[in-house]
Amino acid sequence: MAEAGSGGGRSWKRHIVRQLQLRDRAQSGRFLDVVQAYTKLLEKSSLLVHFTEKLQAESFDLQAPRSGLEANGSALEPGSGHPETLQTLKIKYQGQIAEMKGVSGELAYRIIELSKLLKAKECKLQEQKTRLASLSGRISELEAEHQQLKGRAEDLGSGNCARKAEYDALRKRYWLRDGELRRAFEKEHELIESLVRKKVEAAEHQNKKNERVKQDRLNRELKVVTERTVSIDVESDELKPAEVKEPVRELVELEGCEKLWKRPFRSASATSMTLARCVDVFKGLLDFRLKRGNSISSGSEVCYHMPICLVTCLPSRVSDVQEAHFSEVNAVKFSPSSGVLATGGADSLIRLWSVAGGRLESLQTLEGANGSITSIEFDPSGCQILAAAYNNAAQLWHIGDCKSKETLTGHADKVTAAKFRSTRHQAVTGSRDRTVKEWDLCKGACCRTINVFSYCNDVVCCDNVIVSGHHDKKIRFWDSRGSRCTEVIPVEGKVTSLHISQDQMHLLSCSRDNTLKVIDLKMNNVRQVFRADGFKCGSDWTKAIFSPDKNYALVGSSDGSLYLWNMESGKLETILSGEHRASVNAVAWCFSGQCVVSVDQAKKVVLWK
Amino acid sequence: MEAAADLESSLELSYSGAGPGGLPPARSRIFKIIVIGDSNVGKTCLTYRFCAGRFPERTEATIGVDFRERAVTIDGERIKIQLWDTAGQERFRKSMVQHYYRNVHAVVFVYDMTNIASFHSLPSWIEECKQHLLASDIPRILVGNKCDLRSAIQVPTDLAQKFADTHSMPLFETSAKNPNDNDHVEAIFMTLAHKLKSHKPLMLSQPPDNDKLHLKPEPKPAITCWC
Repeated sequence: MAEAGSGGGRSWKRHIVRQLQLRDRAQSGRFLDVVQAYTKLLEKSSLLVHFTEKLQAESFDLQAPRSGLEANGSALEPGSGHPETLQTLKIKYQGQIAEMKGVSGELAYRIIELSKLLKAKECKLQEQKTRLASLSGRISELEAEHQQLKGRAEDLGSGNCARKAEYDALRKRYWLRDGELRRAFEKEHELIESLVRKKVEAAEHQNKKNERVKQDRLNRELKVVTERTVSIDVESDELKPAEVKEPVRELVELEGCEKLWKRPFRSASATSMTLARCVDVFKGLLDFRLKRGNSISSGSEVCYHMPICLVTCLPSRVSDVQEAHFSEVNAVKFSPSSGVLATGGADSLIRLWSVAGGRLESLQTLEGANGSITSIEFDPSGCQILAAAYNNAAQLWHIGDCKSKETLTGHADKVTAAKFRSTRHQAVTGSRDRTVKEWDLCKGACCRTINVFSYCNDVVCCDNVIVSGHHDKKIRFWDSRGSRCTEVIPVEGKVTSLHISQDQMHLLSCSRDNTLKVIDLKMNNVRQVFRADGFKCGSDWTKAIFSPDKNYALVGSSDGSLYLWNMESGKLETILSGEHRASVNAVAWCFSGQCVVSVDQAKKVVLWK
Repeated sequence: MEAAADLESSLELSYSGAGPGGLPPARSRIFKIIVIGDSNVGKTCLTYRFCAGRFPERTEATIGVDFRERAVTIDGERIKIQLWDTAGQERFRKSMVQHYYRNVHAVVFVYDMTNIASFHSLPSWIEECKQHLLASDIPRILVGNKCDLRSAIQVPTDLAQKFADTHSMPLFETSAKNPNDNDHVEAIFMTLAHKLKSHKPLMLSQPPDNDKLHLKPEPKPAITCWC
């Protein structure tokens, strides 16, 4: 641009010079003619002067001869004509001379004028020249200025660039800071969320603690009250029956827990009634069990019989929902009487619930297992609970006593299942250490260890057979008398659960290939396979069960729905969904057949009716 | 029915099996009192004043809930007063409101005497309380805080008293900051504790020491049979 400017500058300079030259040429050209004419005239005039002189001389010459002539002429020219001719000639020449003089005067005047004009022109030319000089001076001045401005523009441009870079840097920093700010906001939000969550937990914990304190106090007071003999001083006799009941009623009212205290005498008789009825009504079934006969069981051992129901009601609606544990709930079982529910969670707590009136009421919390609870079972009398836990042990609890009664240690890895045998004093546990152990509960000692080759996910036992479900997709049968594996049934996925029907005829297995299989225990073959489109086995410990009357098979899916198959038709009977938001870990069907409980990974326990 | 009876027998057995002395030593009774009100009315300061005996130097917005406990002896019985200092700001409390009201023994509503807005939002707090409380006979009191700022008071006492009367709550005006009011704050909570202690026994009333239970033949409402 600078060059262009300078080029431009040079061009206009040149232009000016050219203009001036042109003008000069035009103007001087005009006068050139005049000058030439003038010089010509000068020449002419000089010529004329020359001529006139010549002519004058001639005329003198002529006069001289004429005089001579005159002298002679009078002789020669007799006529008067000859002098007259001379005279006319003279006049003529004189006229011509005068004319010439006039012309030359005129010319001289013109010369003077022209020279004046020339002078003026010269003057003008001079002037133009000086102007040209001044203009070129100005040009250089302007050029210098232009240069200077260009320099300044460059300076400013570079300054601008620097500013721009600075601005860009600042902008970048702004974005960075802005991002940081936003992240900080998000983090703050998150922190507050987590803090609030923590606080919610703390509040829950505090509430639970308060309840526990209250419970303890109640228990204590109840103990004190029941141990004390109260002599009742009745003031009026006829009111006696109603009033005597009063303290008892108060007891009952206080907490669900106290319900345990009422009618101690009547309940005993009721129990015997139940047993008697069971024996009568289900003699056939019992006979079957006797036929299968446990060789170990001797006469002294008490054989408990589960209450058996003939018809189950299909669960259809939610009766109660509780948040049962601090973390996921793994196991759930009903007591044989169907009135108490036990749940075991990953928070290593076992909680007992009363299910009276379609509501779950917390009865008791058993603390003391030092690991996530994987399985729970009531003994046939309902007095004891056997729980398997991640701390490589199984625990035996006495209901009502908050301390673990017996800890069965010996496994080298997580215990995944612990079951009572039908004879009261024995239990079987399965573990991830690839063993199944039989325990004598009287001594609290392991009486047999079976190597089962693979992770054991679940174990069940009937009279003389132990069935274990394995990680290597096999279900194995073990005779309780020998250590041999009597039968292996392969399935298509890791076995997650096993359940034996109450009549001990069938085994229900659930596996990670999302199928339930019914195995006939007489024939040791797969009798039925249940699949459903939406059903997905959610974990390695998802538990599937038979209904107490063995008409249905029930399991919870990873999407939180419960799937119920009809055993007779082999078809999917119903899907119960909408309540669980997380994978359902386990389900339990109460022995009276009226309600179902499901537990999920999101701490929830749902009671279905 | 038989099943239920069976259960009872088993549990009864297990209880008797635990034997005497199987229970842990008795812990003192706990009164859970929640303190509720708009943000910045001084709930934290009030509870702090009661439990620590002084005005806190600097407090920040409570998130969720803070627990403060103080053991007092009333009529010879040791009682733990557990104050739940709740968050006033909606975003810090929304997810835990039901925990506040679970098994609560008393509710303290707090407003700022120098801030009429905090007084005007009391009905919504009372409404929330009503929604979450099953029992309607839980003692509730109304506390006007910051009464030491005499020149800035916006809630006149008679207006507050009228409001308290319509909701049948006792009204207290106090200041958590004013050292002279320390006794006053204490008195408020102690009054509440006394009321709670006498309100309902919560526990079985112990028969008198002579082991005699006098049953007065006064008419009782019809009792549903529990058998």
